[in-house]
Amino acid sequence: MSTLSLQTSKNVLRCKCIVLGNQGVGKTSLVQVFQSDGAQFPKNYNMTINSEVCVKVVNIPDTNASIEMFLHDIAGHECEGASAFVIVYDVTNPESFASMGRWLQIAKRCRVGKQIHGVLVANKADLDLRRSISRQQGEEFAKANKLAQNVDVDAPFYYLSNMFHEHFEAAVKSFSKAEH
Amino acid sequence: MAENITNLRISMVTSGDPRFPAENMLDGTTKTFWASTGLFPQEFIVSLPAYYVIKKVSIWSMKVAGWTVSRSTGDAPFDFDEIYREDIEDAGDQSLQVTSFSISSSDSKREYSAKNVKFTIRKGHSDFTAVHRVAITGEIDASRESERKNKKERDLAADEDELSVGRAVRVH
Ligand SMILES: Nc1nc2c(ncn2[C@@H]2O[C@H](COP(=O)(O)OP(=O)(O)O)[C@@H](O)[C@H]2O)c(=O)[nH]1
Ligand SMILES: [Mg+2]
Repeated sequence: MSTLSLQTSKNVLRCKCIVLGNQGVGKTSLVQVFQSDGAQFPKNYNMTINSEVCVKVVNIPDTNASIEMFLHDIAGHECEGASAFVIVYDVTNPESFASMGRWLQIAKRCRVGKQIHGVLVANKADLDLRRSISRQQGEEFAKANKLAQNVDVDAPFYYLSNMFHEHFEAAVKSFSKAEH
Repeated sequence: MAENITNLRISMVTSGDPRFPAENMLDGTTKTFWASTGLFPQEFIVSLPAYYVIKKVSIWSMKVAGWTVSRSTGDAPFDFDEIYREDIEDAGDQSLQVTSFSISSSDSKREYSAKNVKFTIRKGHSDFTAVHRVAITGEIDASRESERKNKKERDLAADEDELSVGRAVRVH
């Protein structure tokens, strides 16, 4: 017999997050760095479901909530039911930046309901000399499309976890106010 | 006679926040709720206190986009067959979705009694869904219930026999 998932006092939220961007911009590396930065979490909790999906648990400070981030590093298909997305471009590759609009379209098609949170990641910023997309260009695109922009490697996923948690709290508030 | 079945029990649920436990769906009011916490599908199994021929199911929910309901006619919560499958419209951020259905006359097992009913939220209008109340009406299956009680008594009697044999052996 299955047991109740309510044995613990933990509130586990589950978020499907898709990672989009051209081939070679650094999507897989980004996910790997995020996943292996396990200082706060037991390593074995970060399981790899298959080569393209991995789960990372993010605890929300000062709450009993933790977010299981299901990270899908895919070419845009299988993104149905996503609640969050990360779009990555390579600052040394103008073509990858020009593709942003197309990835954004795909992300919007995949969302559950109205709410979806996205982060734009300007990757390979360490390759300063070969940089062809300026910081300002990235910021303008993010602003125009209501995306958060992040330059730090794992901050996008923490940001999205926090947004997801806030979204849940807003949802249960509205559930408790329903008319009877 | 069909009755509103009381003493329902949740025997499985795929997610939940301890602040909004699944039992809230069975407390008879729409004031409390269970909230799913992300990803679809989401499922829960409602176990009935006895074998009932299910007549009608009612669900009060929010943000559910598709229901599948199935029941198991066996003793254990396995081998479910679908009794309802429908896409559900959003009722907004303030109103409950009310879903109510009777067992279809084309259901080949409509006369069978069941002990477990599985509810599947296939998809949502939002990342999170809530179910405020579930109600099931049915007719108790008297013959299957008395059979079950008889079997229980037979088992008890058999246990007693074994016990007395055990004692007898010890005496000698
Ligand atoms: N210099 C530099 N190279 C990177 C960075 N991120 C990824 N790469 C390299 O870019 C190449 C493609 O990365 P990968 O993660 O496979 O890209 P994907 O195709 O988007 O998944 C690999 O050789 C990485 O080592 C970065 O931040 N800086
Ligand atoms: Mg890759």
